[in-house]
Amino acid sequence: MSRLLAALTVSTPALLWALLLVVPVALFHLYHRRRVVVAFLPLLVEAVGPRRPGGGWRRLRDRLSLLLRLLALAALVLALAGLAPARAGPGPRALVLVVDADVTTGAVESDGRSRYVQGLDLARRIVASEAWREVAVLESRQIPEVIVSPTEDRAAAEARLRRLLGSAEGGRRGPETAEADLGAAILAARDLARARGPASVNVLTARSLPVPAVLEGEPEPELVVRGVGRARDDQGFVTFDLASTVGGMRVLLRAAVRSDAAVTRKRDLVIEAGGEEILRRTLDFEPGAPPEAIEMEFLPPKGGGWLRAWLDGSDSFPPNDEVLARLAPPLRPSVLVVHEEGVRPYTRAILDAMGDGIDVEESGFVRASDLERARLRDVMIVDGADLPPGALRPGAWIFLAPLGPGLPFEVGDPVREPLVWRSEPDHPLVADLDFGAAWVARGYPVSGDGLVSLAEADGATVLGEGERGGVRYVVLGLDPEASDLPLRAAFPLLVQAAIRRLAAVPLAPLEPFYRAGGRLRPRLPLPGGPGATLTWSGGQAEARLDPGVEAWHVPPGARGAVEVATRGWTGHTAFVDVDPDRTIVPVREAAEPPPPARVRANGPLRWRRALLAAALLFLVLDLLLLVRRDRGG
Amino acid sequence: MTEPLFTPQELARLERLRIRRRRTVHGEGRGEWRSQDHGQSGVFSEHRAYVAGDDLRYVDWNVYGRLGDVVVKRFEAELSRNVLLCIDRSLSMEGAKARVARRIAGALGYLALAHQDHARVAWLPGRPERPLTAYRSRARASLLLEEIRSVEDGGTTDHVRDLGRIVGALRGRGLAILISDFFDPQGAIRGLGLLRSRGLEVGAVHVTDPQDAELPLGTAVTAVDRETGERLALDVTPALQERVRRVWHARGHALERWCLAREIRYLHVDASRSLWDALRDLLRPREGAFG
Repeated sequence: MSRLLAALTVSTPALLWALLLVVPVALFHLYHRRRVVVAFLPLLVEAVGPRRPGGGWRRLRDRLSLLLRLLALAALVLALAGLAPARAGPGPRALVLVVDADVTTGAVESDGRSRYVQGLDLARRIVASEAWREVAVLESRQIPEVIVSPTEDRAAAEARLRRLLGSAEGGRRGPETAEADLGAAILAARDLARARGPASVNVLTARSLPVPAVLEGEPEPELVVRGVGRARDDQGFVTFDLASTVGGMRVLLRAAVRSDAAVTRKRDLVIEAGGEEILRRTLDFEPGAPPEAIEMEFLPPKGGGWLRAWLDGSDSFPPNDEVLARLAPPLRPSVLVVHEEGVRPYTRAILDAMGDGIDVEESGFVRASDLERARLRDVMIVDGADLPPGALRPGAWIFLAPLGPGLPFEVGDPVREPLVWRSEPDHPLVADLDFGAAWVARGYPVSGDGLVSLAEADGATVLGEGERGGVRYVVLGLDPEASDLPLRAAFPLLVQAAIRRLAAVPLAPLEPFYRAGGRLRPRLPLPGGPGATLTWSGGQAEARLDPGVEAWHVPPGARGAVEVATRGWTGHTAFVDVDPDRTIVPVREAAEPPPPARVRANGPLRWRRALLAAALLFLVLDLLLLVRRDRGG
Repeated sequence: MTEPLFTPQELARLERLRIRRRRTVHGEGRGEWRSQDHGQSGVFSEHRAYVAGDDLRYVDWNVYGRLGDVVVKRFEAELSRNVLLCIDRSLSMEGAKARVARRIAGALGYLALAHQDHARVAWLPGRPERPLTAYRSRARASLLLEEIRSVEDGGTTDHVRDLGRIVGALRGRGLAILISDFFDPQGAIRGLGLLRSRGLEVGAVHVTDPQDAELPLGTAVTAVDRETGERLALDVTPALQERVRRVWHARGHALERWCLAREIRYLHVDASRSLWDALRDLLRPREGAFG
């Protein structure tokens, strides 16, 4: 209604008060009935008939008559008031509008519409009301999109925007599900405007401009920024992470939840693992308070399953109210230690220390000479032994120096001063481990195809992981026998982490979740790859493993549970889109809709005639109804 | 009603009227109505053979002299009869119909008492404090007329409900006259049927007012029932007016046919007609409704 009114103008608004006359007219029509007292009503009922034929038509005619009278009155009043459509005339400059369609424009405003819809509506009103010579409208998405091509036809531009608005209100068109590149859209709009002489670029956004200095200083094209939306009642996840505890049996969840609301808000944080609620906590958010940190350890469900954390209740921006991750089952790998003359005591001690972290009953020890006949386990540790030819079979292996021949990598001459001076700090195997302080008398450099260096000494790799011929391995070229490594925490932690890493990968080759905008990198080559189909709620994408980084790109906008299917293999993970910098809080006041445009000179007269004719038509129709009624219809 | 039912001149005129018998009746006490019960009225009924113990005063000596048979004469008993006047006082009767109905009831009651009959007055709907009033002598005629005059109109019509209470309290048989417009939502004939089923000799005085079938032309009319307050929204067209009149006449004819088929004496009284015309029809010998 408000949009309709905005598209119309009235030359004498005071006369619109006469529309109130519809109230007494309607009341008189509805309630002023002639009352006749009769001796015996059933007599009339019988005369009218049991089914009262024509009763429905009589009521309809009655209501129709009232409607016609009211319409006639309304048309008469509007004609006298000078109702006419608002139309602006042409102006001297071109107008290029940029409507922000960032993910944050999905925020629901107080009128129930999304900020995106409000932005489109504001654009439509500007196009309808303001004076311009030529107009174009862009949407700021991940890639800017021209939604109204440059045109001088006001009606066509309006109609196009109205259609888009209808689609957006009907849910057939929406904002981006990821961050939109507002800067790119502004640059595109500027280029579009410059090609059209004097022009103005209007950006309709609640966000701060990413490139203010470039544009605001330039005289042409003029840059005008108009605010859209006022909603700021948002509570949501800003960080989310999962990690295994040192023992490997439990999962450590770290998250942070923030409120941008201007008032105190209370929301329940609920976390479910495998369908069972493991945490419910009421969070009180004070305005302006720092994010609420959540940290908890829990045992993953036996068969694995989904981890779901969400904020109960509602706010203006639901997309950040929930995060999801796929939990692998708890891991108890079996281990086979391959030794020469006996297991070295520190190796045994490491396994003993893992306790329930490994499947003791399935684990065992074997001489290197008997390895060919031994049943392989989840992980094999070659404890400084020389393997006989042909004993190495596909599986997960840990090689501890000294290193013999016949291994899936090449072993170089011992390093003179095996002082570890460089390691990969972000790699899960060596993160937080310090080998630099260890005293090591002997170290073997390793190299080979597919070997990833994790630590180097004297310029050569002494710790690495890789895969060749189905043998996945972690190799430590530093000899514990001739060092103080067994006395240091880094060594047992490395072995434990290597066991878990090698054992876990086949069970859960995908991470519990991947971040939006990041890469989906499997932990090992997936069978049936490198192509895969990614399917999530609301979308599907065919992905091809990028050979350079061995990862798929997380499709833009994908969020929630994802099924990854190669030829012959299907797995699950989740896409999580949390961003501490993302907020729906507008940085500027929402712009008021522009006032109605000037009226064309011939508009009122034509409309007045049309309205008077309509009033006359309504009265004639009412008269026809009266005549029909008096004839006994 | 504030004015009296009858002026002195009208009462004098009533005196001159007589209710004639139409058939033998069942009654109680001595009166002016003939009965099939044999008694000592002096009106010869039949002979029968003498049996021991018969009163010798009733031996017909003329028969004995002519035929030699000893027979005794039997005489009809002369009884007074019960006349139950059921007067509709519901709101639908309000106006001309009520006045005519009460004047007819008053006339019938007066004449009944003049003939030494027992007159009882019952009101429909009934008065809880006094459902039935009995008058047994001509001297009480003024009281009867006063009651008929003074009871106010009111209530809704439900003949079965009201007559059920009345006939439940009645003993013996007699003549019951229902004076009403028969605007009973439950059905015009049910009350008459109830009276008849109790063995009463039944008469129906159907008081009508042509105004009941008249509606003013117009749209957006709400018809309100005078008794129940029920409403009906209508557009009153000439066609509807005609239909209402037809239905109104048809109801009267249907009631008359129903009564005739069951030997219920029926009299249609137009409220606009003279009382005396109606009484003449009522009391006309033989073919009169209550002659």
